[in-house]
Amino acid sequence: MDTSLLDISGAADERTFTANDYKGPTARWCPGCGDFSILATTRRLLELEQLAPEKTLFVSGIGCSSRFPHYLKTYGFHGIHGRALPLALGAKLRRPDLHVFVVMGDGDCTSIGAGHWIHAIRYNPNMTVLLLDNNIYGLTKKQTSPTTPVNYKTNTQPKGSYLNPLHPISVTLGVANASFVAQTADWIPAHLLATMRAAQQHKGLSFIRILQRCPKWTIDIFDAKVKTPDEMMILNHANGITDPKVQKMYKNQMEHDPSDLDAARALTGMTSHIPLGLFYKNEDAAIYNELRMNKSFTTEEKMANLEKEFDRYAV
Amino acid sequence: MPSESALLLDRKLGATRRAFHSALVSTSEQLRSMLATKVEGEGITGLFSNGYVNSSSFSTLAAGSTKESSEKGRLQVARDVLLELIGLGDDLYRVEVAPGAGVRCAVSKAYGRIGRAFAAARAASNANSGNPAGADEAENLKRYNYSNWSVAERNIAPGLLIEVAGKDLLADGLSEFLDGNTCLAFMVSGASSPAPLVGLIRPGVFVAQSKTLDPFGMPDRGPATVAVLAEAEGAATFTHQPAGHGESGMGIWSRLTVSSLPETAPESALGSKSANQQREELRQLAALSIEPLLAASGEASTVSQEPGVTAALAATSASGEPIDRLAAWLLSKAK
Amino acid sequence: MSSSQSASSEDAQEVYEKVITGLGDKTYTDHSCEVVSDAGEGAQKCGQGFGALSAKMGNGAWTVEIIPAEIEPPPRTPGSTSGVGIRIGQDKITNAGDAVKLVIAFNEQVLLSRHRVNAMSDDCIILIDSKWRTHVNPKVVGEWEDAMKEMSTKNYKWILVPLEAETLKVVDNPKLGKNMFALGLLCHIYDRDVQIAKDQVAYTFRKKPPAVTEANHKLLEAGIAWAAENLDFRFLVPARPPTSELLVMNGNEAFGMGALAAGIDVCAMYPITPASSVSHYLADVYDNFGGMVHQAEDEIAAIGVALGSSYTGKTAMTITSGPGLALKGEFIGLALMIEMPLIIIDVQRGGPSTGLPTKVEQSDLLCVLYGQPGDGPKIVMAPSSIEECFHCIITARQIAETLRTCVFILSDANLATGQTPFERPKLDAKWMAGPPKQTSVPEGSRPYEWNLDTGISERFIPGQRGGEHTVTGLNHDESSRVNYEPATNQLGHAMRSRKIAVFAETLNAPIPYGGDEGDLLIVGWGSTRGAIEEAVDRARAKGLKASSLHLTFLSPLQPGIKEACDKFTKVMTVELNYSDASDDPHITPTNRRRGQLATLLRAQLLIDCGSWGKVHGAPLQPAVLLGIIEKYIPKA
Repeated sequence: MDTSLLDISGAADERTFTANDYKGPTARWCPGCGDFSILATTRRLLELEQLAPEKTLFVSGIGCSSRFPHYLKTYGFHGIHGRALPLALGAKLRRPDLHVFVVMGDGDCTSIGAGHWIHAIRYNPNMTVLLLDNNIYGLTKKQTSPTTPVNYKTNTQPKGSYLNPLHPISVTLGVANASFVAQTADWIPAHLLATMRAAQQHKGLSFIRILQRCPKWTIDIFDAKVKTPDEMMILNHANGITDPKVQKMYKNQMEHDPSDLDAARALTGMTSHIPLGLFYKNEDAAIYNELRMNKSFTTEEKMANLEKEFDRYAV
Repeated sequence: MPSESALLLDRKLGATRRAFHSALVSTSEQLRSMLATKVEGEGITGLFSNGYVNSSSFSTLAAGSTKESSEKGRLQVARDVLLELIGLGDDLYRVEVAPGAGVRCAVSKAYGRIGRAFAAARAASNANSGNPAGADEAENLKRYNYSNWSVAERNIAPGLLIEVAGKDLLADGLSEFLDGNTCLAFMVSGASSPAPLVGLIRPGVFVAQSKTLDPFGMPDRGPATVAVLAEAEGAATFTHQPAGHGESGMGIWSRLTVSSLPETAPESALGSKSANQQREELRQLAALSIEPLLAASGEASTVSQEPGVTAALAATSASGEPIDRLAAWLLSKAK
Repeated sequence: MSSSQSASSEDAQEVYEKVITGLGDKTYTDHSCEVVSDAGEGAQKCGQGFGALSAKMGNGAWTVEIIPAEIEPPPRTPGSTSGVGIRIGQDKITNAGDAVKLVIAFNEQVLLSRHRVNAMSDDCIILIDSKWRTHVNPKVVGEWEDAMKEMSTKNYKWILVPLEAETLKVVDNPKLGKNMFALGLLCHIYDRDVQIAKDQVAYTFRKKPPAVTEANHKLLEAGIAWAAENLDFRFLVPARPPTSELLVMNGNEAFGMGALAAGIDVCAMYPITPASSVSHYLADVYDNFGGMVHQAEDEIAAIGVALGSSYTGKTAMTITSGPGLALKGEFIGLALMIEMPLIIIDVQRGGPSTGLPTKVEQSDLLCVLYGQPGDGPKIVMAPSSIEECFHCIITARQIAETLRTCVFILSDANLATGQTPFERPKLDAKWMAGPPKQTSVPEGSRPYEWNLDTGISERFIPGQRGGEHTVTGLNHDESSRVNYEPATNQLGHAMRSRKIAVFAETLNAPIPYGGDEGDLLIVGWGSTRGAIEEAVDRARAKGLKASSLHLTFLSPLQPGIKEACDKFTKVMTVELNYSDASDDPHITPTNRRRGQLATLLRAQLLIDCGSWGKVHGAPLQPAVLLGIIEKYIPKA
């Protein structure tokens, strides 16, 4: 809606972007952090999709992963803890011309920001939401998060966390109007990229939970997964996310129809393997920012309409 | 006065139109900001500030954002063009082809008028950067043809609703306008030739003929053309979905669905189209919709399992086999 | 009680023949009344209609809503009181005034609730439906008698009106008709122009079938006829035909229209009393202006959406009240840190916590000024009239965008629900500034390129090529890069503070009302202005040297306040927030907690001011303030 003809006049639009055009300052995560892989894959995605840097916006909350926008050369909004989604919705509501991405950690999204998470899924605005889930509070130094495995020792629950973790995919699938729900892992870049591409092309809110290694606090949780590819279960379907490289690399694969919500929910209960791929997709889900689009008016038209309002209140 | 179904079709084009309208408004508002001068900066704080805020000293703080342009005249002319187009409302996107007049000419004229917005934006951009006006700037503001539009401009082009009599629907030359996100939607009155749009089928273009408005299954993006032939007994209905972005795809046959065909082949002239020219449209549709046999099977046995195919092949040859046999076969393939 | 009341139920008919008050026709410069009913009986339609038609005739008018705390409270209970107070005058009316002189009550229980809050003057004339006194249900009669006993402490003049009985002569359902009969009574008592009244009734029911208007016209006429037949008094408040076109609305509607006039694109909110109705108005009309009301999932998300929208170059505001303000604190800090324009309207209500949701208070001042952690320089303004509610948003938007900061607008429940006519604004296209520029950012420009002298910098909007940067709530340098250096942190703070100081230089000194010097200067802010100035007028008429100073900007403070105060023997703030009284138990000058403006003036300007504050949940009455003035200024 905010596309200005001044922007697109003449030859100004004939640009090609390389991954370097999206490169910001050097990232300052710990060596071995899964965020590096996600950042690199994101740059690759931006290049593949040729998203204009000035029309691309990354919004984040607070936490290790939320430094993400700083390391890209697009527009970015590093917000406050748990509140990335309202900021992103606000950005998208009147600026559908922007490509909006949201980057959150597990504390950000599933704990302090859980309310916004539920409602963002329901609003289903056209944006890509990445949950970088390392099962722990990293930046504040190893506190239990809602996705920390039960009995896992942390600084706030030194005898081991008390409760079973919540499953971000299961929660998301429980919200009315969910439209794109996928799971992938930072250490499988091909799958990550394929997932992010499918998400970016999806109309509506695409929610991707990315299993993300934390070399500092939860290396024991993720190390085994990285080293045991057989623990992964790749979800295949003609309407799902497929990548030939991944299909070659991973032994365990299954067909899953992403239009089947019940099957998707059942998958979140799988304990034998970690399913990676598209759990659910519904292209018919209502998109709030599109429903709320209305006609634009010039200043002259607005003034004339306001005079009519005055008439209604005139004595 | 557009008919009720025209209004329905109109609504289908709503999204591109709203985006374009919004771009017109957004651009005209930007030009309004550019035209604001320092002097006008006074009073921007409104009446509340009377007595409380010293408006003139406040406006010096705000001055940085209202740069005076030396090219106000050109900016004003550009804005006036945009306001004129905004003032047309939906009429900007409607075309009525007068009886006997050319469709191509009418579409070209409508896009030439819409293009004035792009010309205005170019003029304003140039004026704002201090570039002198080109020799054709004034002319372009009066009409700026589709052929001059940039990729981005073609991508934001609003769809046109074209009301035309079936006998006047000559699609020749319209491919020129099927680029970017352009959509040409024809609301056809009266009798029509069987497949007036068949000549516009290209791998990347959505093309559909329909008796009713729903459902076209028109994709969100990409060039498209549709014809609603509510009153045309002798018209075929079909949908051609474009190949995915960048895909070479298989043959057109794999994306072309023919839903219905006329009961009988045209036998008399309609407008400037002879009966033969009209039958050629059906042949063309058949030619595009039939899976190439050799590529598909490679074995003669497959052919024999498809009894109608031989006849169909015969029909598409120039030998003049009865057209109704072709129709019968195509109908048997129709969903 | 008057003789008419003491008449027994058997001869009830007798009292309708003619009420003898002996008052006759009398002319007033202003007069105030109330119409109260059970919720759902339409007293508000009656009262608002009366206010509007009086404004049409050229009277000054101020109406104030009496709102029950529940939606459908049990009828005939004090808690079910719904109604309107109306004050009309020969000249402009700036406040709800004092206790009313006339009440039309649909039953004695709702009247009792008004009695209990001293809403009626001692000699108030009360027109009340007679049906309850002689009701078949002895319980009702008992309630009536108890209420009459409780109210017998005052010298009210009682007039029994067959309100329901007369209404039933015209319509079948008295619940939907008594209000227009009551309007007829008022029209006779205040000698209103019948045609204007009929037009007003037609306007009220314009969305209903014509038969509804017809029936209500009959009721109106019946009310007028009954009053003419039975009442022996009229209150004449001469009207002056208006010289300019007027609009009548409440403060929240004025905010909504102000937002339209200022070109605000987005109003993000979460339902909260008494702010919500700003969004009700906007939601109704915003499609004609290309704007949108977003009802967020909570107060935090509401400001988040507004902030996100502002970041992308849209003009955004959020509306809230005390509890919501508390929740927005962290986002306010972020908005200030990243220097994002944002308008935050706080329609104050009684606090703390849930407090008095529908009632007026001015208790959020210090919270707005200092309510988020860290240093948060910002602009805070307080409109003092409904007209200013309209105009202040235009100013707020320009300040917010010019300074890249948050502008808070402090209104309250008094302005939100009060209605008064004001001059129809002459719209100016300049108020709706165009969108921020989207042109490329010159190479080398930085997103916080502060002018070291003013602290002002130019922001980049997504879409602007070459302006790509990430805004952050972390301390940042001029390039918006995270930075932990002491000097950078100091600079950022200084720049955010400096622009407020620079803005203060564009402010004019407030002008004392009443006179530049004297014995007592009353300092106020926000919605109390009309009442304070009226009290000053009355005091000066009595020869008392009292003046008032009204502050429109609370941050930064306008210049010249101290100088103005210095010319008075005593200075005292008058606020609708809590202040210990100096003679309260345990209170000493050092431990005394004073009103919020008093605290501010003492801290910031070293003004040794007194503090008068009440949290009665009611608008300030000029007569009450006059009493205070008389207490502080010794009679010559």
